[in-house]
Amino acid sequence: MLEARTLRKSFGRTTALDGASVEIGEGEVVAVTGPSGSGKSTLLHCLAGIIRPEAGEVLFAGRRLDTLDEDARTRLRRENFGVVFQFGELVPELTAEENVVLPLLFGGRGRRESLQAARSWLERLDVADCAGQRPAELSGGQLQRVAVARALAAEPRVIFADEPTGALDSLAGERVMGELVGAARESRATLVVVTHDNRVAAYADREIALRDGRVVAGATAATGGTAAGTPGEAAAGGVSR
Amino acid sequence: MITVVRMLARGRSRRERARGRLMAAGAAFATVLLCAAAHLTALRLDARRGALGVLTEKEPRLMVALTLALLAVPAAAFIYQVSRLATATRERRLAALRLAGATPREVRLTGAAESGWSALAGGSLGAAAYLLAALVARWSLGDVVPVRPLLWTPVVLAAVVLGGALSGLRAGRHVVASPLGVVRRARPRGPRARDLALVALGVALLAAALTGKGRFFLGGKYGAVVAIAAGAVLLLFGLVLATALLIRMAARRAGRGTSAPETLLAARMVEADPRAWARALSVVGLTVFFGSAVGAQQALTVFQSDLTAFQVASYALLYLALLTAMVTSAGALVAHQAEALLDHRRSFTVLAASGVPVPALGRVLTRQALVAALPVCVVSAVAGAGVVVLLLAELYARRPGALAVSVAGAAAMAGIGVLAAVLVARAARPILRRWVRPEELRTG
Ligand SMILES: Nc1ncnc2c1ncn2[C@@H]1O[C@H](COP(=O)(O)OP(=O)(O)OP(=O)(O)O)[C@@H](O)[C@H]1O
Ligand SMILES: [Mg+2]
Repeated sequence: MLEARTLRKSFGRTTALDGASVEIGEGEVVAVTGPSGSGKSTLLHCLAGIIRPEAGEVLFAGRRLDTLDEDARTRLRRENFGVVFQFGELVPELTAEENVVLPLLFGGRGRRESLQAARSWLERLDVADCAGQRPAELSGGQLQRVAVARALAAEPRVIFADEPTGALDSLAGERVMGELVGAARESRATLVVVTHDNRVAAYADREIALRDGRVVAGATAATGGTAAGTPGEAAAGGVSR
Repeated sequence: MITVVRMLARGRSRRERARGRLMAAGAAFATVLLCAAAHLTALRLDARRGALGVLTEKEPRLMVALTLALLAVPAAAFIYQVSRLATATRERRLAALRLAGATPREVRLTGAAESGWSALAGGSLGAAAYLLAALVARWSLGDVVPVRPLLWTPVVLAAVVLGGALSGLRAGRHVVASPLGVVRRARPRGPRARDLALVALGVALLAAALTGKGRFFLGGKYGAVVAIAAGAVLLLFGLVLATALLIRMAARRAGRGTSAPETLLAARMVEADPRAWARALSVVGLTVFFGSAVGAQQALTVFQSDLTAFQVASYALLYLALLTAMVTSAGALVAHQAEALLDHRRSFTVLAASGVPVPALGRVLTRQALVAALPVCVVSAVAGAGVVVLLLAELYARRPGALAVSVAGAAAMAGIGVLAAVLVARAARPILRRWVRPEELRTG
């Protein structure tokens, strides 16, 4: 479904990714973990086609993604990917409901249909009461659930989330995480979550561990298993060329 | 205090220095215009004819002075607009000062001192240029050009500096509200219906003066002139304030029924901050207002074959004034566009990252301009032409074609105003493309 082969990416003199390879199957829920600065966000952005690696390949459904031009990648993101950011990143001028509706409209759906979809997603995530409120009036947890609704409403095949609960306390974080994973499984979407938090990782089918821009564990479904696999074993089989 | 200002001035970014220079330019412009206006009213009309043909007849002289003074309004709006540029970096700088222990009052005064200083620099330059021009005129034209009005120059300069300082005082108010270093913009207060009272007052004054057949209950003939001038100015300022109200209403309407995502986003963004748009568009609205009024007045004369040289010259002067106002408007629009882009950069970047193509974001910019500019320009055009047509209803009744001409003129002016706003928004597209890079999105 989603595959990265020996990705390299550097920013100036810092090397963010140094030959990272991963393979993610359809409908899988994977957690990307690792110490700060290990390249988790960079890997996620490469997989989502937001940034281009300097070397290596990114494949989505068997198609090269990194060689597409910006327009094609944008279209691909819109049609297949949903993204949840750390701080929600809702448009402050729009209400919660409009924030969910907007990507649907950009995707070419009609207003009424979009509104209906938005409402039902807000309801599912238990923030239907906040539909008419603007982001500034929402709590962190509500904000994040609206952001999850926005990412899921377009029914993407892959959902990327970069520390979606990083700004929340553990209780609110767990709720949001539970809902994100539950919704992803229900709609059989693939979910890639970047996280520091071990408890968040426990929700996942597999944990991909990064260190210094390399995948040290869980690169493929076969080697990873659940978060239990020992790093040494996984690294041996994981970094495939 | 001075040490503090100097210390802060050193921390200014390049954009902020550009703002300072723009502000000085606006101040210079306003000073020249106001001085010229003061001087024109005092020209010795009967001293000599010919050389200053147009300017020596009393009525047009007053009109020219009024036009120039009214041009200073756009210049002032421009200064205010510019003083809001680069607010983010400036606020961060001022917030740092707050953290270092400065009181809110000191921070506000610092802001005032900064922009007051720019206004002083620019205003002095403008005053010097004006004095030079006036002396040259005096030297070449003799006593047609009186010397006494030159005494007004320092007064005008003081007014300009005061205006600059006041706008700086206001520009710093967001920081004042947040004692922590976190600069968080206070939610802008919406426009108030009270602003409409100024419009009503202006209309009442105008009506009272005009229906009195050249006499006013206070001061007779002179009182009527003053009342007309005051009424016009009040009306214009009121219109500027009411513009925010109008823009918000129009934006709300536009956002309600649309199924185009660009329009929805544009309308909501405009609705969230109608004051910024009103500030930028007030100048455009004024220009459209005057342009339509002038057009309506001229519609009566196009059928006239015996145009005097004086008429032609005064129209040329008016159009020159309109052109200047239009250029000033464009400047204010550009300043506003830059500010809006800075404000929305994060939202646009996130949208681009989640799959919204950049051209669609470009359409959001043009639609914002359209949503805000269309109502302002239409209302201004109708008001400008309407006032003249109503005042000269008798003449219009005798020339049926004139009404059509003035309507066409007003439509053209409104079109030009909207076009200016849309073109500025379109011109911002390359900047948008350069700024909105999803790959620069740092999420954590
Ligand atoms: N746009 C950028 N410009 C410069 N350096 C960058 C940029 N993005 C990432 N880096 C650098 O690349 C390295 C990896 O960054 P990345 O954001 O992928 O780490 P991370 O694992 O997500 O860290 P964290 O857990 O703190 O979010 C870091 O050293 C970072 O400083
Ligand atoms: Mg990160």
